[in-house]
Amino acid sequence: MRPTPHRTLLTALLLCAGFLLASAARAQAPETDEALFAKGSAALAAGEYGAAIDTLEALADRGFLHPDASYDRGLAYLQRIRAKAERPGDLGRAAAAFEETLRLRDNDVQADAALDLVRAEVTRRRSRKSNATMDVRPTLDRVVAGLLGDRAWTIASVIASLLVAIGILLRRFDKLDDAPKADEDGRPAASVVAPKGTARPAHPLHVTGSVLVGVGLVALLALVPIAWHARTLRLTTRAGVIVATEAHLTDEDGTALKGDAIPEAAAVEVGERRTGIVHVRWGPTEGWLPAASVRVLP
Amino acid sequence: MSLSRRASPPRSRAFAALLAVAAPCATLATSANTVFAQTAPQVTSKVSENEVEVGEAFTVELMAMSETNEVVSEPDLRVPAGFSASGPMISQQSYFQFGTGGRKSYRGVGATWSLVASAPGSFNIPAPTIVWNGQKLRGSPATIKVLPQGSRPQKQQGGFLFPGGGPPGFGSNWPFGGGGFEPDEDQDQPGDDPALSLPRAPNQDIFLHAIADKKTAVVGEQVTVSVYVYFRIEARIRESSPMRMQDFLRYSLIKDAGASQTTTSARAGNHRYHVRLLEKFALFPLRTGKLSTGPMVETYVGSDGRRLLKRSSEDIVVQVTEPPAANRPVGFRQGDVGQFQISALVQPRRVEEGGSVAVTVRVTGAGNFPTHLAIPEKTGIEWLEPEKKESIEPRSGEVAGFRSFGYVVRLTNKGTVDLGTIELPHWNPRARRYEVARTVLGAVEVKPGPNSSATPAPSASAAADSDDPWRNLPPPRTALSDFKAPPEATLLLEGPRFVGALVAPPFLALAGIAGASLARRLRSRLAGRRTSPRTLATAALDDARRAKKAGDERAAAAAIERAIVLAIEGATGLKARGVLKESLASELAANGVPEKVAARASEALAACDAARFDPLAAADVRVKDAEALVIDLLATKGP
Repeated sequence: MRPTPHRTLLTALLLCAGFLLASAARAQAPETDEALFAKGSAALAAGEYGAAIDTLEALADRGFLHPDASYDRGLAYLQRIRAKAERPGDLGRAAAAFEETLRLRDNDVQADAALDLVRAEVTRRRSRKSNATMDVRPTLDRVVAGLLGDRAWTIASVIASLLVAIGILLRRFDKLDDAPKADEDGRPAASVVAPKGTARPAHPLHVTGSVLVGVGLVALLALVPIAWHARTLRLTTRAGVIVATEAHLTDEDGTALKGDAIPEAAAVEVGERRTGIVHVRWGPTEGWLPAASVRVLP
Repeated sequence: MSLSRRASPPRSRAFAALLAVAAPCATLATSANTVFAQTAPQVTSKVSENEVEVGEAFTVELMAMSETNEVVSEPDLRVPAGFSASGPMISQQSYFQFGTGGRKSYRGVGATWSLVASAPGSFNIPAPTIVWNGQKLRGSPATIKVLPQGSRPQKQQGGFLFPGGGPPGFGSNWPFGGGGFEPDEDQDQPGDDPALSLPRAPNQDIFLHAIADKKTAVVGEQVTVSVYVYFRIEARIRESSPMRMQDFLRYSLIKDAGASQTTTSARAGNHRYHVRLLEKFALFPLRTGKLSTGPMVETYVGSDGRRLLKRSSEDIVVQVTEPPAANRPVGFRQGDVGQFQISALVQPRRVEEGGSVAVTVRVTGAGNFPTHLAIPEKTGIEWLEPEKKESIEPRSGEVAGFRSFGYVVRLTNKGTVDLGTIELPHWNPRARRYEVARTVLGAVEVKPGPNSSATPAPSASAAADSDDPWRNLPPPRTALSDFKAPPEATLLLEGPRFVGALVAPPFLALAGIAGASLARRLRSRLAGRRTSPRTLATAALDDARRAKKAGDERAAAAAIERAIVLAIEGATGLKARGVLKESLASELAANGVPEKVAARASEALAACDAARFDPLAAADVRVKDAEALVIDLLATKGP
């Protein structure tokens, strides 16, 4: 059958419509996380750090967590610094990305080395300005709570509680009639024949029980507050990194606090978050910072 | 009654008010001077009308705005001869400039004078001034044409500061101008605007009413807020405080709204009111949350000249959210909301290495224009800060126009350099979807410069390398390696469970011990019950019944004797077999057994004893009697 002009036109129109629909569907289909990562890393490899940063940040905004994506994001910021197009906070953003990588994969040697480079660069820059303070020591409570983590402290507390319970049971051992009543020859055991009210040697299990109760109670008194504090810290605080050239702590009203400014790329503990401001603890000092100055790590 | 605006407080009072406004900022500004360079506030001025009639009031407004809220003082206006002036009325002003790099807030004061001309002619109003840091800053002068009274029939005659003429049908004393005032005319009229009618009127005489075109919006989406005054009485404005609108970028639409020049009528509750548009703003929310505009407050003076009527509009609250996260394009910045197109001009297209080209990007459309564009940064191309130009103004109720960004781009790599594409992802609130406006910048031919060489000197290259702290960075990762996200850290022993786990072991241990002790006691008690004289006596009586039934009288007598002996033992603890028969009754009585029962017991035992050897006597021993005796004995309480 020979195609008529009308039929040819209709076929062409249908093809066009199909093409348009397919294009529209493709345009509407959301990019997968993997495709977005590939796009970002390709841009990074091509030296297009602006596009790489936008893409990898968009990936992070989606909640996609992968150490390689975080690592490339850190590299993208460093590429911008290297291209002399640095923006304030780029070193901090790079440090935050590498910290994120290490939190996701703690044995990532490259991220560790890159983070060291970033912190060294911040130190170098601050030393030019005579701003010596770079590192601060965490307070004792943070050190202790962070020593094992709240899970371990919780388990230790429960074990202490179990020791107390076992101790209580053992202490009751000789008061129950579970002690041997007669020896092999049928003669009554000493604890049975001894008259009431007279001193008799304590049963070894009773002694053990007394020791366990004492040790367990002391351990409980020490471990429960630590476990509780560690749990509170886990629930109310997050790790963060300073992403401003330096950050000055203020009080809730915005009045500057005394003390050194927190350097860029410094790791901080982020607590309460309000509109536009976050509560930050850096070593022993704490105060409020603009939310944009801190990148909270996942 | 005079229709002119009532004279404001004397200048000294106004100045005191200005100081009161500025004083809280003075300390901050002074301390800020040590940190920031002082910037002179931007001073602008305007007149409300360019053409008025003799006796018609108009205003001159001066605004001094700055980012650092500079302290200003002594607003002054030298009024030409032939004008009477009142004021200035001082107000606090603030607005925000929205941008991806943050927001800039401008604060300052406004001073408004009310002027009335007494003679026709053309007059130059000198520029109003204000003092900042010892300097006198000036607004701009204006020329105003004063026409003879009555030459503009529809214009208001009084000093009431609503623009335009008064409502038709109102009396000559009506401050808004127009014809007869008929306060009781509450019947619906064909000209009433149903859109402005209200179910209730907050005040019977005069009130303000604010409305927004939407209650929910995304960050950067236009919300149009209008403030109307509803009035049924004569009144004059004495003070006016605008809405704060601190969380919004705002554009005034009042000049764009033709309705501002007319008065309409509408019903509110049981009355008809004349309604006039006072303010109309295009607001662009700057953040998420429940954002409020704050009320507009005006104080009016009643017709008696003494009664003050303070009226507030509603506080408009808008629920502001982010645009949806689904399908959000890469590079989208919060606040880029509207309908935009983008175009670019790059020139020249051929430069020498190290040379620059000009890239002008123009964003046109309507909405909240971006203050920053994502430029295609890449190695070898340096983009300098752009020079911005714009023409953005209200058009048909929305903010439209263009903003251009002029970049100087330095090219440091030879060859054909592709500048890339500039994209502007934005949320289109009309289509309710994300759109991306884009423009391709194209390529630029970069020729080698006269000083360039094919390869840099090795020593220079080495020196540059040694200065580069990032020279040892590893390459980017192009593929995702295997990674399993750590599971969400959930503790089994969380909160109450943790407390339970701490308390439970010692508690269970103590409970176990208590339970074991209780069980032991119960066991002992049960065993005691099984061997108690009462239980054994009952069993002996049962044996006696069985023996009687079997015709074994002797066995029955023996069982009854046993039951009685056990009952005596159970009641008194006395072993009856060890007591002489003759003294048994007295022994029982001594142990608290009633004498009769004791005698019966003694007799019964004697009968049982006899029955052992005499079958006939055995037949006389009856179980029923023995049973009654046992019950009586067991009921006896010991001595």
